[in-house]
Amino acid sequence: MAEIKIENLKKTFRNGVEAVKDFSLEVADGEFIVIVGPSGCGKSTTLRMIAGLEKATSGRILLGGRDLTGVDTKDRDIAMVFQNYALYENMTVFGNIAFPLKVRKESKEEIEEKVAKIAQVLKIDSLLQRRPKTLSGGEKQRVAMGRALVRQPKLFLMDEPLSNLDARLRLELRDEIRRIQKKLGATTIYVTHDQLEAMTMADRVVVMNKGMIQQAASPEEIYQRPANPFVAKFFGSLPMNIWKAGRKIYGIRPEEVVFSQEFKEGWHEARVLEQHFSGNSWMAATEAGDERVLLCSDRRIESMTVWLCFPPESVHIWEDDL
Amino acid sequence: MLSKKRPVLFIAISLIGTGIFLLIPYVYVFIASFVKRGTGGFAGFDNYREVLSNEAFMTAMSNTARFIVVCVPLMLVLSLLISIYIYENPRLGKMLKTGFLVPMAIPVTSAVLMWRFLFDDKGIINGILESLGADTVNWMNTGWAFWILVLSYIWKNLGYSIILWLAALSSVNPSINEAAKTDGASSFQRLIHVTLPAAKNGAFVIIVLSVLSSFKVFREAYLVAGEYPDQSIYLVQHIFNNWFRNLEMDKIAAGSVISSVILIMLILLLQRFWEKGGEER
Repeated sequence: MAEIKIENLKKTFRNGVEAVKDFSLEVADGEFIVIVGPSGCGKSTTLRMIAGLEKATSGRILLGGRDLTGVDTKDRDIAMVFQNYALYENMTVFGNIAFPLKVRKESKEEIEEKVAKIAQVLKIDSLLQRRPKTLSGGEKQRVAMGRALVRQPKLFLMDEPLSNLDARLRLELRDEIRRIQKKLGATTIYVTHDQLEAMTMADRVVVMNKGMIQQAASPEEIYQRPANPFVAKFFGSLPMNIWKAGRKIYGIRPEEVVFSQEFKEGWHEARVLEQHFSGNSWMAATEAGDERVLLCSDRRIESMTVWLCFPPESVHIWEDDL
Repeated sequence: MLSKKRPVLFIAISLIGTGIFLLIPYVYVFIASFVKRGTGGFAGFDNYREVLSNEAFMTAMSNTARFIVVCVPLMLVLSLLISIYIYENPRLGKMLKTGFLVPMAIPVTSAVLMWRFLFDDKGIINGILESLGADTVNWMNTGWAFWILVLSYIWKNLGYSIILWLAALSSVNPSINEAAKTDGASSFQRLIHVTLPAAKNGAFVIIVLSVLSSFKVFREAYLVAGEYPDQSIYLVQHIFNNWFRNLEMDKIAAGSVISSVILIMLILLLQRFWEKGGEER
């Protein structure tokens, strides 16, 4: 395993699209980084440049101190897991996991031993003689991970590995990826568009939008101190309430809006527009003056009018320089 | 009820065509191969015995077989290498692709005329040899004829095979190749272990089509060298042509059945091999 240093990475495609404008990041040895952002934000392109599958227009990537510029993918000593698993259909599960060792001409005994070990960690030891087309999506993704983990590369890249799985399986594998990553101490860069996945898995979250890093920080910090309205809106199960006043932008999370069904001096009067039940709470859309305000309530709001209070310690303030 | 009939209706037209022009004649030929010429009585295996002991027929069969054995692998490897190059260099490849496709658009007769200009006793190549002071070669009436036929077959059909290979290659999920790259496989290892196995079904079609099209090279052989060409390019169709002229329908029938059975067996064998082979542990 190794640390990775990315300096001013840029990618402009031949058709003039600037996919990645300026990407700099240092990842510590053993760290789990999640790059997250909406589709088209440049996160996958960044990952592919690190893998060497896409040539960077400019910038440098240093892996364990070694400059990867001009180094072929196969010589980078990285492993990658793909969204669509990318398993070799003509080989068994064993053959798939053994492939990276085979092409390195490792001995038969060594291959058997390593594959058996990683299969045990991933709980796929009973599947080794099966062929990929007989496996379920979750099993396939485990095999793909086994193939990536078996040779302990310097860096582990994952491109939306859970996106093709159903919600339950996603939850299960999320924890498992973290467990295995910690166990092996694998430096990992993980790309997803799912903010919840990013929050729950990452040591550090890198939020991207329009080819630029918006913020790189721990999940707690991203949630509590978002660097700008984009980050604030992107995280949280409900989008943050955001409004402009003068040269400033204000934001407050729906769950932090305090409300009363009776009149309170100095609070903002708001009309209740609609309400949705979401399992453990109610989400209400209200209108205070011209602004729509979302809020959370533990029970259904009976009155048509509520009075809102925004506790100053919960309000985020940014300069309007966008 | 209509839903069950519908698929049948869709294929009905081509099924009728195939039936009238292929299946029924084949059944007729099969029956005819057991019938005595002239008398119309049952001949048993007499026709087959006669055909199999016919030296010309055996020469024609072995020439055809030799032609397939030489041409098909050569064609497959050559077209595969070129299509891989085109696949990995799409910009330059586009021009190349057009270049390889041109021979397909040239009518056989024009192509043959070109071959004649080149390989005639007083043709261009002999002219060049002469001007260099070398001995001229009797291209079309010696063993060279076979290799000229191979060359003309490859030249004419290469583009088609390349297109088929390109289709097979582009059906391979690109991320499988990328996965192999990150797994540390060299481009040769990727080709052998990943790309070709994934393109396996396409390859089967290409082999079968190449075998079938190599059967059709008679046109070139006939047009270049006429009815009685050099022994090395005396093909199955030459002998059928001669039998046809003499109205020896019994022999034609028996010969057709033999060659079609060999061809069908060859394809079935290939298919068996294909289903079993190509899988790694």
